[in-house]
Amino acid sequence: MRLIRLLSYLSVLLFSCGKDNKPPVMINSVSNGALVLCEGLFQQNNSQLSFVSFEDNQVENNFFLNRNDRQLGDTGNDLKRYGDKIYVVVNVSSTIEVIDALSFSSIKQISMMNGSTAKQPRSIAFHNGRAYVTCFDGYVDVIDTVSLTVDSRIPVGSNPEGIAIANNKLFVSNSGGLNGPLMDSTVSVIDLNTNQEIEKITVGMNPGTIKTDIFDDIYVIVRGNYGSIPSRMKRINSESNVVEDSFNFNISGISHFNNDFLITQYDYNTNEANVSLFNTSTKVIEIASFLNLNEVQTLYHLTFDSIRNRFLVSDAMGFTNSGYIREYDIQGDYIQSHHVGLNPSKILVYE
Amino acid sequence: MRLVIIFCLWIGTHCIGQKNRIQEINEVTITFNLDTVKIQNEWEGINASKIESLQVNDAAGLIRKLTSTSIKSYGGLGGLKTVSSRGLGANHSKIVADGFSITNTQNGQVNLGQIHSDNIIYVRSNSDGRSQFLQPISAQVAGSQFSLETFENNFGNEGLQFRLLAKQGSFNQWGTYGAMKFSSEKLLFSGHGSFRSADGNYPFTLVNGNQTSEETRSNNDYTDYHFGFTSGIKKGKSVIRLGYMQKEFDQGLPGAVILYNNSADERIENRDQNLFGDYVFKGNKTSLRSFIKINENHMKYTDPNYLGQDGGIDISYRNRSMQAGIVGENKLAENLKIYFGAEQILSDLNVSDSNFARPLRMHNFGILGLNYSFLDKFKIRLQISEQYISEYNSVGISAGNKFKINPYFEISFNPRKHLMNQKLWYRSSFRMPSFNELYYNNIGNVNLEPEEAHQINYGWSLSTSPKGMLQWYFRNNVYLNYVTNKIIAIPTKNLFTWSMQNVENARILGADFKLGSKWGINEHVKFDLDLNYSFQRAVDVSDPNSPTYKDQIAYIPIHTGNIDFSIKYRTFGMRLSNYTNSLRYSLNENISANQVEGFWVSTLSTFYTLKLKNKNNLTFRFTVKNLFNSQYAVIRSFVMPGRNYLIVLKYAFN
Repeated sequence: MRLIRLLSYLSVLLFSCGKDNKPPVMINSVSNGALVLCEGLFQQNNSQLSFVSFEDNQVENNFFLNRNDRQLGDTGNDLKRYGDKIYVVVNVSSTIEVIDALSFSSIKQISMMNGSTAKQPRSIAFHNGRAYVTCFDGYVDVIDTVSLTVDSRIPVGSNPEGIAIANNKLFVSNSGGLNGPLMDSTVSVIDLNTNQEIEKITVGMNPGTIKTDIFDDIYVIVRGNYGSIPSRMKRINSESNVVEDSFNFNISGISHFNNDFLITQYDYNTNEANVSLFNTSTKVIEIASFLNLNEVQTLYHLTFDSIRNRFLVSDAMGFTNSGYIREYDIQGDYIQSHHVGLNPSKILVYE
Repeated sequence: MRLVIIFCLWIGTHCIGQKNRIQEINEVTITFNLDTVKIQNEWEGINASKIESLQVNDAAGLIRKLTSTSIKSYGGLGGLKTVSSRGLGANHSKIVADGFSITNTQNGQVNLGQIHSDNIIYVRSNSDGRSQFLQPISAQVAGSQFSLETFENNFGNEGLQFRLLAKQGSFNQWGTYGAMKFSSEKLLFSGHGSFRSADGNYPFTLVNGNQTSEETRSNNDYTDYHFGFTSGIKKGKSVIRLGYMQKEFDQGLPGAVILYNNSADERIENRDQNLFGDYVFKGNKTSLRSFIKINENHMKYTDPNYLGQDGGIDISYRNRSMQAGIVGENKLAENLKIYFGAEQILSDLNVSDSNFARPLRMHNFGILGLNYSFLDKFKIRLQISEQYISEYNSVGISAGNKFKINPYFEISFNPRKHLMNQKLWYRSSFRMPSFNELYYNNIGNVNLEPEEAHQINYGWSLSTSPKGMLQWYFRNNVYLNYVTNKIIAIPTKNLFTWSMQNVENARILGADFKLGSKWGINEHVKFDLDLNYSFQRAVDVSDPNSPTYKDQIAYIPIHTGNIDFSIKYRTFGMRLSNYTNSLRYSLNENISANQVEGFWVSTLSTFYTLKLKNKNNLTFRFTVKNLFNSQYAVIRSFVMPGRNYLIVLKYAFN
């Protein structure tokens, strides 16, 4: 029918391509590179994994999609490896993808729904064959890493965000972020022998990122209210469960760097980022301006690649433009950039 | 993590118009007499018989048939739909229904999904700058303006008229509408009521990588009703009217389709009340209109799945506005007219969340202009308008006061009626930030400046004389617009804390072409063909170092088109209507990851009218929408329905 032909001619006119018309790259082996979690944006279903190969400096985007014929989902939030499996916590889709670390084929997708309500999982940590996942509905889910099913739920504070392990205990930061401006200010302590919450430590408003150092101390960032109450770091003694230190510098992130921490400080008004070196034994900032990151527009995450002795910076490019992984050597000199997906955050390095 | 969604589905009002006489020429032309809207020829807008044969869900379905409009639709009956004209943005568009502006200071955008179309008898865009001196000034000075006229608020001298319709369609759609209108030498009166409901559970194909699955949209039910009365008295050359209108709706919000997560439990309930009145005087030299409208809107939004400590969100809003004004025109000499006016809009917002501001805005408008024609062919129009806005917030900082002056200039050349009419105009306008943009908890920014727009347009049109077997009309516009200080939500503190900022500047180069034609083979057989094509190259010109510099702005399609063809034989007719948008981008960066595919949607509608005696008519309509079952979304993740049908039975008297 002539009308249909006319429609198809017009359709060809209408459907054109974007400016990145190069054919997509396919990486041959999952090694000598970095797996990057690109969070995407809320309700756009565009979270993905990118693999940066250090062999030939190629990037394959949609790494999960290409090997499993389906998408990762909406807003991936955490990426961790345990043994031979990769776990991706996808927050808005409310799933956990369990993937074979070498072949990258999907082993299982664990649905994190509570009836018809999404649990909204955030972060994952592992201990003795179990995975512990913070869920924004106020629980830590316990998952058996062999059967890959949720065994139990441990009630904690409101909107639990980060999770860290020390001294056979779980430390969970209860952000209460959905109750603004009256957010939560506690860290829940869970005994890993009984899988029960034993205590709530008051740390300060809106606790988020929480990490363990080599001395089994727990460091947590209390983010405040993004306005009058600034973001600060606190140290908890994991034996006594007491807040022993309160540090008076601005902070937006903590990254492991050998035995120490890299403290990232991102100024949202000037878009300037500063990275300081924090000595975990002396517990002071040893070098105030450790890395000079001129090439970075939005410093979102910082990962130290101990295999190649390099720093990998996740540059979120204003959170609405596709991001970059920027490489810096151990002296802090810029090496090169890799173009990845939207809002790159966590990175897993492969030998 | 705090994710705040600015998403207000709420419409201000459904308004009234004023006295005019409706003459039907060839069943398709409407000429208004004592009216706010002057229509030069029948081709400018969409008339009643075309509107009826389109069988759209709401006003968005009609407005998208006009040139240089881009509609953002979130789907469904009553689902949020907004229009941006010529790439300016939805907040620059004003909708005038029957001579009254629809105001929404809460989010600054009119939800076209809430404007029914069963009673609309005329719709047009006023981007060609036609003098609308009896329209409210708030609409006259806006960047773009659309006018709607309804059956129950446009009066002639026809005596008693009556309409009643019932409809049923896919997804359990049911609806009914009834209206009665009476006008005589001295009196006018009308009353109307309507009811609609639907389940909205439409099937759709979900594509996930290489896998597809058949899913069903849920939590998409909808119920609404509205009713109103208008009454008036005519005396000599004046008319005074008073009316009331109430609307209520209750709907589920299906939300975006999120992979692996089907939960959707958000709901909105809304009640809207309007009291309105105007006085119009049309003398030989002077015409005057004074008008008032009072509106109160209550909206309640609930989300039982929200993971706050209260176990969900339940929040109520009350947005009130009062607008009053006076506009007029005076003929100083044979070829010189001046027009003038003043208008005041008072609006406030009250929210059940105690953290929200309590804003009160007083917005004053003034306008002065002149129309001068010379050499019998040329017309010049010069206009200057002022706006003074003072704002208060009883619980915190307010946005402060603003004062602006905006000029408008137009020159037109009409050598002979129906032959090539040319027009060149320049308009400067702005739009105020809405209450949400200024005050919404952590996202609002009281320091926002208004967005400014500058438009320059050259247009010409050609038409045949209104007699003859084949009549056609062709119009072309070419325009260049700049919008500065565009307000967009950007993450400022971290990925979860967004705020409204003036960050963007846009440049729009556009052109539109419209061809309307009708061919009456004999007295029984008639064809018509309407085509239009709009080109909008709207690019981000904020920062040359940004990855989005010169990229097409999100959700503005470069190409938009409409192709409509209809045939009538005696009292039977058929219409094939097509609408298409080219590829869009979901974010400003034009990369393949952000592409939203273009789409083509066709509707086939047929009707048969049984003419009973004594001016009684019964019409039966059957419409198949999305005839070729296109699976598409206008906005990423908000899927639209596939093929569906609608049956309508309508009774009309007079």
